[in-house]
Amino acid sequence: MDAQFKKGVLELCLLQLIAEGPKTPFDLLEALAEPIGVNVNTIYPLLRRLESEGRLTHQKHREGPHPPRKQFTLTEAGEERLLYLKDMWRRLSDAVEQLLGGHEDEG
Amino acid sequence: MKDKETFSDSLRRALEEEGFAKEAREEIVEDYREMISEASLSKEEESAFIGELGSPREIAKKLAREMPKQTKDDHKLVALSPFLALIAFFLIGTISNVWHPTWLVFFITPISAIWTETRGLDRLKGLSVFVLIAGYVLLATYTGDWHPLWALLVLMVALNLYERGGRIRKAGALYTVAAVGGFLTLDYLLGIQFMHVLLFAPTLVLAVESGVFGVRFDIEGRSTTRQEKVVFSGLVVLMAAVYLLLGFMWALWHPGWLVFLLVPLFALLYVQFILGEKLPLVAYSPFIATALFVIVGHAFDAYNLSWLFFLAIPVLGILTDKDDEEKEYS
Repeated sequence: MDAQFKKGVLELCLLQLIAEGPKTPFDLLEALAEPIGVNVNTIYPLLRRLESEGRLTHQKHREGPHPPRKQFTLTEAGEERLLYLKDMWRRLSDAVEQLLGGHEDEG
Repeated sequence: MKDKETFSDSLRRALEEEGFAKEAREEIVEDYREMISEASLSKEEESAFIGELGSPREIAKKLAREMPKQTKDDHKLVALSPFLALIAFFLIGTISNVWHPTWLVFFITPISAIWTETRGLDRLKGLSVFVLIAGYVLLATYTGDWHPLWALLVLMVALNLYERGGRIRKAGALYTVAAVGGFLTLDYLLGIQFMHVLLFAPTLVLAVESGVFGVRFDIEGRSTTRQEKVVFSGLVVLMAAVYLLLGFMWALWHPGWLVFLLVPLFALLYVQFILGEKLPLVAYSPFIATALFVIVGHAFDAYNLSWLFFLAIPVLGILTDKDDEEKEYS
């Protein structure tokens, strides 16, 4: 998948996954590494940026005998951003689908 | 476990080099440590996951690119300092026509960076390098006593020994301060020459043993080998000997001190040609520019013009700065 294209959709995917429930950076890596083909060094800086922009926040969460882990959740600004990106994605994907469908019909 | 520790140390240093504030550095390192722990709990071998993370230097560079505000806001003073230094250099130089040692005002750039980036003993250790060099050059220029004042530079070793901790090293640090005092006293007051340099023998042994002169090669999370430590410690001692020789034999105390620039220069060459790490030309430029600035300035009494060599640093930086967006998703 093209690098620039992936970069565009990664933010949307991250926000969506976090909207489904608090996630650690490793949870996100596991969810996204294969389908999108990104590594931790791509996910982590984006998480930090989204947090510094106030779209994410984090809490330390302890589970079982393991040390506490950082879990990210969406802030109100993050939820708004997710809605905006989803809307953009749907409009774009509809437009592209139509375009591709139209071309296939022609062929 | 050693892999995780080595990786954390390398990442911490790489983040420091990229200008991250201490708090941010510790948070990022902690986050990566958590991810490594989670990976080893889930399914992956710790060392395999660390291998997938890649070079700490690349991680730090990428974080610096992705979070520009965080680094730049903390460093307005550092960013401004070269311009302030240049203005001060021209003002003082033009008014007084004393270009040497006025060029020492360029030290405000590394000094402000150290002041912003470090705290406590780390700050003192970092500042000591520039403050002692500036003090030495100033005092020696105006008194002509390049020898025995060079002994002041040995105080850097004392601070390094103290910072490394341990009873013997701390005692060695105190001894070194006393030895510097004793050395200067013997030379100035009693006129005892040369042999009193032996006062520094215990300091030298302790410093080499403690790795004070060490150069770190933190590439791909690898730690510096014993062989590298020995070679580069030896190189520092050798350059110190060359400096003393140049000074005593040919009175080349200034600009003979430039031989010390060969240490970082050799380290860069070693990293590039022996370890095979790609280094941009701009990495070499501060050392080459400083050497040219001082040599041309000293030989032709043209410090007012030779500062132009420093312009080569940002120019090379701009020319060699590649857009590596495409690498980000590799």
